[in-house]
Amino acid sequence: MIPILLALSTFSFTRFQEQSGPLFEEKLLPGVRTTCGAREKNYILEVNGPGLCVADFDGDGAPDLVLVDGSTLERVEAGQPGLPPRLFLGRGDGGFREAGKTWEIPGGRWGTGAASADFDGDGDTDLVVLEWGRDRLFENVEARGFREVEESGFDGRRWGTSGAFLDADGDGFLELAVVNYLAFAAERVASRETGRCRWKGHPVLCGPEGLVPVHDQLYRNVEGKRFEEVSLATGFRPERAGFGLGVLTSDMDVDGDTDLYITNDSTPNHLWENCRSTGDELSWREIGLRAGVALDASGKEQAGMGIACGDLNLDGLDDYFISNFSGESNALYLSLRVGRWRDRAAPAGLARGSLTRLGWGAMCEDFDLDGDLDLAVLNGHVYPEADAPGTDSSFKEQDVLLQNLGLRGPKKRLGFLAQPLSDAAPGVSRAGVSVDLDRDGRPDIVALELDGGVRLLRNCGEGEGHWLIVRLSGQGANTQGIGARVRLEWDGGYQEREMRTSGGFQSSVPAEIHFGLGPVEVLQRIRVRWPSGRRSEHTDVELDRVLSIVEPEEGGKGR
Amino acid sequence: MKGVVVAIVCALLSLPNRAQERSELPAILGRLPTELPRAEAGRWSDYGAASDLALYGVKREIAEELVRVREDYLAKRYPRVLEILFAALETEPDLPEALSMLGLTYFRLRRYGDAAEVYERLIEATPKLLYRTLALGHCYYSLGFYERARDHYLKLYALRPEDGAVQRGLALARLRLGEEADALRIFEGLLKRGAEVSESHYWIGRIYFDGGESAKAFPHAEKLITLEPFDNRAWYLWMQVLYDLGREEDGRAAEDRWREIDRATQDLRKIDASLALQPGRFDLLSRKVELHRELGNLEGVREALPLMLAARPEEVDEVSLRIFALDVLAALGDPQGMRWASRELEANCPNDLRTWQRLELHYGSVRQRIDQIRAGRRVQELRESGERE
Repeated sequence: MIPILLALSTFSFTRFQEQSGPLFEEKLLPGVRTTCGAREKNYILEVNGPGLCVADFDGDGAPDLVLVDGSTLERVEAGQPGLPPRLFLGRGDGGFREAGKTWEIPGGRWGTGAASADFDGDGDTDLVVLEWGRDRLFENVEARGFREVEESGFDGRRWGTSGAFLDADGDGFLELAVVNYLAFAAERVASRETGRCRWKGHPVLCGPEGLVPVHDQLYRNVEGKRFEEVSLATGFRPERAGFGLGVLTSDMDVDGDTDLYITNDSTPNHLWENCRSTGDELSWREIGLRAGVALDASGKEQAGMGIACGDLNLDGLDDYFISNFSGESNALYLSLRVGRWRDRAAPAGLARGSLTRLGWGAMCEDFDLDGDLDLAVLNGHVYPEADAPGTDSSFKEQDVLLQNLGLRGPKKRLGFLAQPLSDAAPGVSRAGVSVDLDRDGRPDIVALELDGGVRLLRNCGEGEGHWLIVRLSGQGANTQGIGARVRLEWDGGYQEREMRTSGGFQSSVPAEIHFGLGPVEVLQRIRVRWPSGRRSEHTDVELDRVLSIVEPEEGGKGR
Repeated sequence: MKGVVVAIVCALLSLPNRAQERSELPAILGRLPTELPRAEAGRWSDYGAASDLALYGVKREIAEELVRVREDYLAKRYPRVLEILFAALETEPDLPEALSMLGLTYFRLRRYGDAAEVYERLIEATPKLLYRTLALGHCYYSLGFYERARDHYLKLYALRPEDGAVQRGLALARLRLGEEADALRIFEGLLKRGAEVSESHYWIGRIYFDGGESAKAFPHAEKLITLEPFDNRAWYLWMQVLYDLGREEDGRAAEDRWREIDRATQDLRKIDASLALQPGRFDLLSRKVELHRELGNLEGVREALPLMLAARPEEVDEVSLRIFALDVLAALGDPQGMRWASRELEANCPNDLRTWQRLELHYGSVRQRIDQIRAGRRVQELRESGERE
């Protein structure tokens, strides 16, 4: 641990250089490696990799990083805990230092993912660690350390992958949706070595097909003290469970409440409509198939790994980008009208280059600060056998930036240009989060490699575009304004984004919204529609900075 | 009848097939086309469709082997095809006929990168055979190289402007490149002259639907499900169009049918992928027959049944299997198929009491009274000779 501390203290991003290649420059978080089972990858449990959470835990304004590490089957069989999640505190310049003892988190069974938000409404960011095993809740004690909430209300020993905080019932306290993958027990699942399962003729690990998917869970927040599961009671239970991997909150139908989109591996994705606005009681309806976001354009289930969201076609509605398996195209579900999407990945130029790769972490930000949203996807195969003859793929793959070329032509068609994310050699990437680590206004990326390092990808773009990072301070228990819609307006245009901490794959993103504004120099106003239903309007906003907006009290004006 | 068929299928599928499932793949699948030697420059540069291999000094045995290998190819014995072609190409580098078939075989095995490698070498060695490289466009397309696919189809279009498959490929590449209006124009042209009819209806419907014009997609989707009643894509499009037009009840019915077909199609796709690498796996062929039977897809059953019968392992009782074949065809109401299956049963299993019991029933059901009486007598004889039920 000590050598890591020393190494971290000397780490910082290199100075800005003339950009002549990819937008991002990669550095590794020194001395840190992740573990997810054996290198041979005999079981599906060993391939999804670790989880990642980026949030400001110590309240200093700089994003911090929690690495949720995995374990090995040998450790599990020996009754040893999984490798402990680790918090690295951000310095605000892109560098990190290992956090002290008060932030230590004991190992669980096998860490997979994370979710973060202010669950108890005390103003700081709490943490949920998802596990192959019992998920765990950690309360942030006055931004000075974590304390496990023993009576969290989390039950069972499922395989959670991703989680999302949302105020589903409108009481201010944040509910938690946990996405589960499948029922796994090494003694009941055939190993790769048995030769039982094949991919393109090569013996590979078995699953998810042939294994049993496990239902996702919705937990109601009981006054910031604990959670209680309300999945069945609220109708959050599809006819058939999916192999859940990614989750994102979004008011997809613009009715003022928060809906959920869940990506499922080899099973239809689920789009959950929050029906609370039609009655007092919280209830859900799964509408993925009708809405056009459950399957690909030909009706085929895809791998549904990571998920990112933004209004890419500038119609005021959220669009969804989903990363998928090799041989499948990543999906881009563009809104056609409220409640209807079409997969437009191919015409937007996203299919080429994605068919030979397997995508995981997915991000949607204005990486080049030109005023429109770009996409990034982290790639790497599940099968080491992808390097064998005849697979049309490879185990190590290039991560890709998909630069938005804007709406072009008379039909205003969206187009993207794919390019390598960085000069780094291809790797086996998994979870990733985009966040402005060094507060220069350019979104950076933190990416995890399977059985590898933590990669810090500094955005060294030359774009001189303007930007704004918005943080919210809500009244009541939802102190971070999760679910609020923030709209920036200027002469001749607008951008609208939603506050969330969910997205990507096995990841949690900071409670802040980054707006890339390109040439826009003056905003007319910022409008915020708060989860409480209140609305606020803000003028005279300076750009190129982090802006904190406070929710007005009843009848008051926001600051 | 349905219950009987299901019971027999369950019995067949419960046979121990793990050995087949886990058998080693043929070593030839581990080889790459890049390992093959290259011919000296210009060796095949003037070779064309009408060329005689003998004039190029190709040994007669190799030429004959290339003719024979087509049978293996048609029977989808792809690993065997690869073995023969690799041997031929190692003796006679870049032999155009062998390269052409090797490219096609890799394409069928869904090894698109390897197929593209072979086709590119074919074009380089033998420019006159460009017209035989339609699958190269499909490979580029399947790998997501849409510009390359479009450019290749354009070259073929210059050679064969009336070829529907070339035009379809070109239209699909254009569609993936976002050139939807061009794609639509090509598909509508194809439809006008009656070429690639089902595909054209599908893609025209799809383009309109994706563009938010469900009313325009409707007639194409409607026509498509009559043309391709077992195509999951067709039903998915039909369901989407109906829902989008607010026809809830019809949409739900279409959704039910789509789900049924889709489940079977996905299983069939996996089975076909495995059979391409391990042809003749009885467990997979049995499952294939069953899936087609469940869907009521007579054409699919007719294709898969003979292959299943030919792949019967020793431990599977032949009489039960042939009776199963007859039951399946009877359940689907296929008189021609039943005639074939009953003849096969009688010819291959004449001394088994179960054969004649089943045939007696069969001949009774199709009112072939003389045969029914003959079968009944045979049942009697076998019983009297001590054959057990």
